[in-house]
Amino acid sequence: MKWKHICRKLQENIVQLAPVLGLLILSIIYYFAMDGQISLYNLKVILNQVVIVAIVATGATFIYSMGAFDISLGAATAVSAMCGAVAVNRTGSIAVMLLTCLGVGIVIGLFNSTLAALFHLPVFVTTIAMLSILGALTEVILNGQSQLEVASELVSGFDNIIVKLLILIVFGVLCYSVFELTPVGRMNKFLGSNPVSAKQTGISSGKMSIIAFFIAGIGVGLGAFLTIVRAPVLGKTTASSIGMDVLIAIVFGGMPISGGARSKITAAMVGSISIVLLNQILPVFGFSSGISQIVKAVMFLLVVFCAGLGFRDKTLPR
Amino acid sequence: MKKQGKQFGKRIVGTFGIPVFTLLLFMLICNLRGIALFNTAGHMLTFIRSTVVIGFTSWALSLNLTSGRFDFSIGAIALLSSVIAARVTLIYDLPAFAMFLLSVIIGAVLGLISGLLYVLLKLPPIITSLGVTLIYEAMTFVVTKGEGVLLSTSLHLLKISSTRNLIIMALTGLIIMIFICNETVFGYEMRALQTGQLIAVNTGIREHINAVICYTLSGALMGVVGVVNLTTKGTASVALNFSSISTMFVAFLPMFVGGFIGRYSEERLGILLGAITSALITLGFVRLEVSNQMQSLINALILLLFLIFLNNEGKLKMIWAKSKTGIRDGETK
Repeated sequence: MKWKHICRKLQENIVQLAPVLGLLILSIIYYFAMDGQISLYNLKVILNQVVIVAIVATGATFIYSMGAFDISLGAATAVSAMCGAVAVNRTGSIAVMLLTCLGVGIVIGLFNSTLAALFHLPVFVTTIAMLSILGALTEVILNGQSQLEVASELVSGFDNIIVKLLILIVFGVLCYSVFELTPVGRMNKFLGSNPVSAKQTGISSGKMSIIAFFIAGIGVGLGAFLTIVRAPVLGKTTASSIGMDVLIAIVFGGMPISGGARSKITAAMVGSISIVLLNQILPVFGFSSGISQIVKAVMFLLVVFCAGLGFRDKTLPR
Repeated sequence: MKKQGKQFGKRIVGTFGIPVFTLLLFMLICNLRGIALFNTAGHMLTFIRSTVVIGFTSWALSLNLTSGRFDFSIGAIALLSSVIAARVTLIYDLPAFAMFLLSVIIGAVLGLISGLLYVLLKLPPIITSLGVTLIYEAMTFVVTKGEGVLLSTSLHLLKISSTRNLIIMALTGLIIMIFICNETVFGYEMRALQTGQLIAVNTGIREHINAVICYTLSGALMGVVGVVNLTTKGTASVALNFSSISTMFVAFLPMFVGGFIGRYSEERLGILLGAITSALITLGFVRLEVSNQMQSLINALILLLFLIFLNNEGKLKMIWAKSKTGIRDGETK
């Protein structure tokens, strides 16, 4: 009986640690794939790719933890970035660009959540409609041009890894504090675990979704700002993959897509680094884009499968 | 007798009201602009082709979505099944019908694999479908060596999406879907699982088999979409990093419209009528020369307004009833 208990505890711990173990294994593989010679440049490349996805994903964790799902994050980042680009081109001020990115990101988030709360719509449904609206807005801002350029000398000062890491750390600590140290995270997880019980205890799903989308909006705004800083030429495909990257990062980091009690704010960070490391490792082995994507998908399914061991129900998950 | 007649009228209006209203609205707007909605045979072909693509995608999406399973992989299935079918057809110089059949069969097999992965891994369907999407997109890349498929020189294959063939596809699809969903044990069990998953499983309904059949059927339907898309454009490009996902976005409005129409008649018929509505809107926009971004914006707003209506129908009915009887809040009659 005691052994059974110990084995169960051990299994639970392994499952809990699966994403971190995965990250550790990927780091070791990366180290050997690079023949033990990881330069500062290599680290910069990795961090540059991690930062944007990690920031947007950390903010989005508030949405996912309550069992909601936002498909329009990539489009929201693109629109925020384009508005920021227009603002900096008109004023020449980086502060205005940052504020515009943040403002647009927050407004889009609040629009999504208010619409859902006001008209009793499932959040996911409003984000589907928003995806089309934001896609159209991107084209309106581009105004028939293929790209929108920002003078690189305006933003080059921010294109250094210290600034990016600082933004990531400050936002990460802020989100961690709100999620772990205030009732917001607990209420979000409660809503994700059992929305009916949560409502009966007086938790307003409308209010919580507005808070969640507000924080996610800040993440989107910061992600948009860093998108311009990284590549000051914006086009139709700008940030197009962020929505899915965020989803994969969160799940890869060990958080269930259905949210609830097992939601972790750190999942976004762990998952983002894992995904980027995987993207760096695969070409080293000489895999083509196609094969790399297959390996990535298999790894993704494997990690999520391991992380979910011991949490299976009688019925199929939905 | 009078009551029966009234109910029949209500059902007819509920079933055909939305597409007929859309048709009349666009005919009127076009008329005011001095143009005809259906001016040439090309306009009719565009309309029917859109109806088939949107209708089959909506049927495929609804098979899983109505059971709470969100499947991102349907676009990748359409692409991969048509690409493999086209390559086999070109290599062995097969007739057009063989390519169509191959695409449907390959689509069904891809759907079957997707379904089996879902029931074996027992992961949330969104997760499984994300993994499957990546794999199928990558397989398209591997199969075509990143070059895609070119059919525009094989004119005999392009005939698949002729007006006559498309009408046959739509009608056959409708009959098969109505039969499978209403007249078989699978359809009965699917509805039971949709309304009460745990109760259905406890009463002995085999959820795993039902889910796998849903995925297989969905894959076969996307095989049709793939081949129609391929023979319309004459080419298929590879899609990586989830770019095939956008294929499914056309299906949301028809699916929700279908759910609404289903109250008055049959849901699968409703979805097809929803697809006709969407195709009419698309054609109307083309005829009125509405820009692409404006089209996306209006389509999204229509979807949003329709969903707001569906989710607040009870309240709206109450407000309507109150305004009819002249009762204001806080008053009693």
